[in-house]
Amino acid sequence: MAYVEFLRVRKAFYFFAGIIAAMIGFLLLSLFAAHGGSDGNIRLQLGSAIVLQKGTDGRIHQMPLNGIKDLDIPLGALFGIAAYCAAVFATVISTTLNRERDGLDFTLTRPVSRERIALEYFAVDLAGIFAAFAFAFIVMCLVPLATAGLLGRITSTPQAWAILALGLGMSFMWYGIIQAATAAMRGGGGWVAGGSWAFFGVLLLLPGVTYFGPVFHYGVVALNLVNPIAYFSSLTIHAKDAAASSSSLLAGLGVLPRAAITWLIGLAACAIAIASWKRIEV
Amino acid sequence: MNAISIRTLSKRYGEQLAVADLTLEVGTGSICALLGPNGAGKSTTFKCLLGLARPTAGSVEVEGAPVSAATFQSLGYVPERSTLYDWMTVREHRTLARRLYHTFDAARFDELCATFKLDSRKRVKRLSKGQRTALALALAFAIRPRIFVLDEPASGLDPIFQRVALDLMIDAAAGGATILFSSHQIGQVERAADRVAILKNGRLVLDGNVDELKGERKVVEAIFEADAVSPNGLARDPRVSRIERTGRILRAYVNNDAPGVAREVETLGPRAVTTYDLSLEDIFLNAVADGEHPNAASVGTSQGEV
Repeated sequence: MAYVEFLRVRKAFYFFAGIIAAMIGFLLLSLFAAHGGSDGNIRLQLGSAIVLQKGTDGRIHQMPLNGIKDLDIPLGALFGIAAYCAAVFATVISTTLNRERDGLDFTLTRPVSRERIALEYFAVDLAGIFAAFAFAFIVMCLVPLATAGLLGRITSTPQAWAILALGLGMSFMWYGIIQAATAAMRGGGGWVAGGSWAFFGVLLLLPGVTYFGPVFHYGVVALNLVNPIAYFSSLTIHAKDAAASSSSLLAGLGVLPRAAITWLIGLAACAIAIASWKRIEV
Repeated sequence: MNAISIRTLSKRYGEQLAVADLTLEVGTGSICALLGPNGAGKSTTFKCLLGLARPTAGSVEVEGAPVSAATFQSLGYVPERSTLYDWMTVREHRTLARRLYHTFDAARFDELCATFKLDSRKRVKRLSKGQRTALALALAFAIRPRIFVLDEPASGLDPIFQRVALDLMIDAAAGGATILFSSHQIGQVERAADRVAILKNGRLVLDGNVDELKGERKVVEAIFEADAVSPNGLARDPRVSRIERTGRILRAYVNNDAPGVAREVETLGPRAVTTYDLSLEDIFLNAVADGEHPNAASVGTSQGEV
């Protein structure tokens, strides 16, 4: 059954990759086009610095970064960008079991147990999420930076690799939660997956609302523990600020523990999805 | 050993009893047709048999064992409604089946696709209803299973391909396979099945060998000069299962002693009396006819009261 999911994920990946590649291509083209100088030359500017310029000879020349001093591009931030792209892809493919509801007679009369079908689907989907992350990292981050000659400005810290684990964990957690929520539903999985962005986005903001009293406040603070975005968004709140911050239970938590929690929640959610899937009747 | 054993199976959906206390044994190598009007419980029986629905009571076994994933390595199923992947091509379904079944015969599949004129590059969503049924049949028969469960296997097929589907079933049974199928096309059933089980409101109302059922049951038909008279005595006769009056024609469906019933009909003064064998369609209609008392039931366009 992994073959079916492979075809499905491949189709989704082509769509995802096409959109990202088109976005980046359009961005680079528009930068070149929009910054045509009065002298008729075309240049790519980063802030006040001209980083690429089309010369009179018709060739693209890389310009020295005189205007940008001490520009460091943290690898972790690039992983963060790729992680959100991977999360988008994860939500696109996260309704696998729900989609099978249309043809359960066919799916469940194969010589493969229901658990194995679900596990095979999850494994293929996880590989797809990794591929989406890698593609987004390369095409959205490395290609534009290489075009601008800024690859050398990327700085790596040990934290960057923890952010990589957290970014993938966030995507997997999101994937698992939607699988668990939709596995037993009859259709409508796409709405849940799409709506999850709005739901988790609003949920992230709700701890700041004090109007509804402390019960509501602590309720939404607790609920944010299963909000994948919360694990990424509060990264900038340092431990020393944690005591002062009552808006997130994650505020004082390091990146690696957060990453571990996202993976654990993702696994637990997938286990719940399998349990629901096993009970389904046609 | 029976290939399929269904014992005291009941399935309830809320207040509705879809299948009630059904017991059915299908012997290895036989072709058994499960018949019944819409909503009789045929598809629910199949779902319980295949583990797609949990029985409320009773049990099902395939080749002496409860249904598990391994069962489907030797069982081919064609559901009533196409549940193939719409977005996949015929060729991709072939690849899927080849990966799932170690008995999958790719050459056989290609041959069946050619017979049913299926374009392997086409996505399922571009196929007609009949072509989808044909693809499901090609997949089921290409795995060369020992048991087939076919829910309306000719659904949507044109008469030519209906005949092909029928021939596939007969050929598979000749090779030792067991087939349990449902169909509303009694002609096909009569040609292929050696046994029928008829369901009505979830209950088994008739089960037996086709030839024996047809041999036992007769119709005594009388034609009168004017409208057929009311055969009050026959209506309560235990030998008669149903009486039908349509204009000048009176038909008595007889379970046994047809000559005796014919003699009684003669006393009513008809112009002519004929006795003939029941067709399977007659047997089916007789079995599922409405009415609390079987003798009180009648069918026809302008039946009289019996």
